[in-house]
Amino acid sequence: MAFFKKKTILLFSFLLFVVSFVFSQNYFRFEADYSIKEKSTVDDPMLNMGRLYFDLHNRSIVYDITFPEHEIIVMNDTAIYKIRNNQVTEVITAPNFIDFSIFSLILNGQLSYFGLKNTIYKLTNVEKDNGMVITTWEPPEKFKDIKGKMLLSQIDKKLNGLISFDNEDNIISKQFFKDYQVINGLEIPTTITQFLYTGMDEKIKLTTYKNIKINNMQNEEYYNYSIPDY
Amino acid sequence: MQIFLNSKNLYIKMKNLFITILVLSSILSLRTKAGNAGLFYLNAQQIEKEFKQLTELENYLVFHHASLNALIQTHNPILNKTGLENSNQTVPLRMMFEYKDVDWGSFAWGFCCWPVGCLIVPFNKNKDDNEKLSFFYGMLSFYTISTIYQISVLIKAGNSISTY
Repeated sequence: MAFFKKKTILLFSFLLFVVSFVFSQNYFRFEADYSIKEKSTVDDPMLNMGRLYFDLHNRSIVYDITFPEHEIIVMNDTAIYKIRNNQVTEVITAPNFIDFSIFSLILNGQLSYFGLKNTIYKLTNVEKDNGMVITTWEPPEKFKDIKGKMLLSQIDKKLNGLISFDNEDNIISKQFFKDYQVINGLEIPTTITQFLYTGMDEKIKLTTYKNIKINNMQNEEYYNYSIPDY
Repeated sequence: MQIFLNSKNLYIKMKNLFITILVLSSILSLRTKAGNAGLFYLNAQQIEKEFKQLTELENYLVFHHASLNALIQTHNPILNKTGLENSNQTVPLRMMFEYKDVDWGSFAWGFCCWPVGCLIVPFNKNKDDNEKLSFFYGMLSFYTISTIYQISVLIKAGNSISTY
């Protein structure tokens, strides 16, 4: 009798494992038409449009820019490549920001806290006001000379805004995530408004995403973009 | 009786202190909450207004599949509205000054009478980049031709001196 009980438990566990494996979604690709509009108190206005491709496994974001000029920009863990007419025109060394790109956060299901749970920042305060849950995230003591706190607000458990401060408690940026769409079960903000405050300059950046595709198995040439020799 | 009065006074003092602390802490907490919530206020209408012209351009580009180069070549007024006409984005394209872009009137001012032409073309706010460039090309052409002419005169003069 005990043998049958053990067998039943084992069989049930196995079935549970199989069911969870089959039904669990694995998101690894993000694709969308994008537009970035920028206005600043100092610089000229800017419009940049095209389609972007992100593959979580390849850890690269490929921007196929159509406006103002046709150009491809590839961002990976170490650098940003500008490619024109299949020739690398510029290489900029950049720190690893793929993990904190919005696409990576969306696919990993970490957007609601902007991935802050997996960083050195610690949650120090939670407050509720005006339908928002506002959380305060602070860096460890030893980093407080160089990093400031962050305020994160959520509406209906979705990321609404993120405010970054410098070490003297001045706001250096504000980001707002609006117009969420549910695509393949993922909640994706399609409008991101960013305010950047640097010295005397105030920059407003409006990013929109349209025609979003998740886990698209076409357009391999972009998802596995091979950078030309340079 | 005295003890009773003292304890009553103490009770009233404690009560007042408790109420004061309660009121102050409530005010303080309310102020903190209001401050942080206010930071997340976004004036969506203002943003929409701010980017209205760039959004118009975006919609135009999506609909017509137009490039910046095509917009500049055709002097599309939508560029003027957005301010992109003078933007850094268009600088490499604006530098592509071609033969068909020459404004011959401005060229003539530069070639024939640049001191007067200066007031009419480059210092005139109503003249566009092509007209100003045409003026300078006219001026440059005048000096190039006059330099060649002067050199040839000098060579001729030198030759005639040597024959004597």
